[in-house]
Amino acid sequence: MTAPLIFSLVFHLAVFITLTVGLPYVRPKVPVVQEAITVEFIQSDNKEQKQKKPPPKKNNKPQSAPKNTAEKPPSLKPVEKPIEKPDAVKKPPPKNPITKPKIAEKPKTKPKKKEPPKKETVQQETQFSSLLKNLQESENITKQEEKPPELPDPNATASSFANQISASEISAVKEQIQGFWIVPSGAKNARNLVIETRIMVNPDRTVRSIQVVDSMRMSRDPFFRAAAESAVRAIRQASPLELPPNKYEQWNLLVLFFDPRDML
Amino acid sequence: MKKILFTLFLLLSFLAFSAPAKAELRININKGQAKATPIAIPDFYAKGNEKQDLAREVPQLIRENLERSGLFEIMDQRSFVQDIPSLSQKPRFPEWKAIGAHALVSGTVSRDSDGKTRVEFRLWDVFGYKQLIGTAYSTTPGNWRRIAHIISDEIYKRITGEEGYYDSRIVYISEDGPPTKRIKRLAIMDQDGQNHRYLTDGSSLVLTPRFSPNSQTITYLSYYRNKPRVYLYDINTGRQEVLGDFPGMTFAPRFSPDGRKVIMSMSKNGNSDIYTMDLQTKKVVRLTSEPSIETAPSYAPDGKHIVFESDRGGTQQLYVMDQNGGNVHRITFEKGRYANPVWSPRGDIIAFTKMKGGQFFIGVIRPDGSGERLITTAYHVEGPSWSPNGRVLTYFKERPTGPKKQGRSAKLYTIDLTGYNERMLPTPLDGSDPAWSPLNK
Repeated sequence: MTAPLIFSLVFHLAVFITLTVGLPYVRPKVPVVQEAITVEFIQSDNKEQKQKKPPPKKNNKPQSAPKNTAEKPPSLKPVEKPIEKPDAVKKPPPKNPITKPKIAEKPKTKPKKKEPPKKETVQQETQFSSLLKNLQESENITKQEEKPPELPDPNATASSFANQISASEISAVKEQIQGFWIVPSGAKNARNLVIETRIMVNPDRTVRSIQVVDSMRMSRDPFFRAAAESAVRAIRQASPLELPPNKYEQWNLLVLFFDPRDML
Repeated sequence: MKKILFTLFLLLSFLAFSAPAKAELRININKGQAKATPIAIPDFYAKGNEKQDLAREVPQLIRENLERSGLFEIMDQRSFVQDIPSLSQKPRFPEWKAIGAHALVSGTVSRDSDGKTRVEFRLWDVFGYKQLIGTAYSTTPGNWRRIAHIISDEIYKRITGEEGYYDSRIVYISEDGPPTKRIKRLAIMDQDGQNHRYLTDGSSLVLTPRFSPNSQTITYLSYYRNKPRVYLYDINTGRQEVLGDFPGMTFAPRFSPDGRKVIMSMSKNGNSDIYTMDLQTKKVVRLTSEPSIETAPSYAPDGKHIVFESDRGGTQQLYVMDQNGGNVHRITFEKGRYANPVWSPRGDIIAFTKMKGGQFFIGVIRPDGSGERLITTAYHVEGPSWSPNGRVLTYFKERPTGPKKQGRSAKLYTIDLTGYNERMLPTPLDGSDPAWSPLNK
């Protein structure tokens, strides 16, 4: 009785494994998802997602429970995800004895100067060298020193292939994505920021999945998360990617290093 | 049977390890766009036809806040396709994607059973088709601005990865009257200029107000009875008290990051040095004892170091020392004089005023003395103070006015630490010496 059962199990397992692992040999043209790498859902139903959301990390109840309306620092603890719970009662800032005069002018319409209008430090190679403005004469500036170690040469791995993707083809997709990437400027840790992403691409050059490799840092470093999300947005915006259609085997998996160091 | 299993295991291992390594194409993306992030903030949905005003005003305030940072591009509402009632159900992402929004904010305003105003908001990732934040707040109807500021902070934080600064206040010196008879009053307002009020009556000259870490106390210099001394002002009670009983003039006060001490200068017989005073024990500690002028001390956010200005080297330069006064070293070596150093709450950078060639500048420098940048200049610009997140500076600019250039007009400004996005901060009268509060608790 047990023998046929075990045999059946083993047989089915073997068939299953062969289908998943062995298939590339049978039909080598078909792209294979090696591991389930999908981290971001390209399509997701929000309603569903909402329900699946874990309960708020910070339980707001205990903290805001004492609804002491008399307290002075009006603490408004945000409820994390679920909108069901409203929050602590908050009191307006202490009323003041003196009346508040009406403000005449509006602040916002000051012309936005995005590009430095004045004399700058010697305009260098690209416009990006001036992400941080400096009015000081250039002789005095201590140049951006220590460069962290270089990243692996992007072409190194690809170059070992015969029908290889050309440098100009690489720079086409590179420039395409760079055109969409909004770089975090002025942030504290911006200089130590390299975001490695792994991208599965469909044969029609649309992006199937994007994974930010350092998922640990994603969850613990809000700045890294924000920068990584801006990189993911750039990839999504760029989809379908400008890649040579006949060389799918070479670009079905892209590893992109987003590195703003040169711009800061 | 075991044999079969074992064989199968071997076979599987072989299959698993012999799968060909996939070619992966590695590309460095090392340039990008120095652009603001496009964000769509439609009016909120007024549930049950209540609070129609707030359904427009709350998102409008959020738009103004985010726009002022220079890091967001507020999208024109006329380009929106999806209407507000259906958005309150669920965003149709392709429509928002089509108009170029990276992020989308939706919200609902309603009235709780107990009469409180309830504001729900959600921040959506338009390209990822997902919700980034969803939060609800309720408060008394008159307090809606604060909710809008808190929501602005949440959005700012999620998109930029840095703390926000909208739910904060600014204290400054309001100035009025002719140059010879200037009336200076302590004044306080929200960071956007609203809820403005005066704290002192102008009978004594006041200068250099600074917030305590809990935002409830202000330390400042007052010439009460023509004796310049450091005072404390309690925002809740309005009570003012002189700080300590020093033999000389005390000035340039600031709180320590833990709020327990005030660090300041005392001048006696023409020499000024730096002292701290414990607010509980009233114990005074002298940190410098040079024959030169030492003043304008400012703590690093961890409280371990202090930056200050000194002319011990012949000209007025910036120095950093340990919290106990040891290990003094100079950090500025460029031409010109440096003053008013203030350590960023982020810790990575120090802002200062610089005087060079008859012109004033606001600049920033790293605590190790590298990376000095001058980010704004004017005939007279002075007194930088950091936003709670260390991203924005506020300061004042003074311009000569009148036909004979005898008058003075002083206004408050803000600027991003990158040196872009300088804006005037509106005040009812002239303003100087602004100091930004920490985020409200």
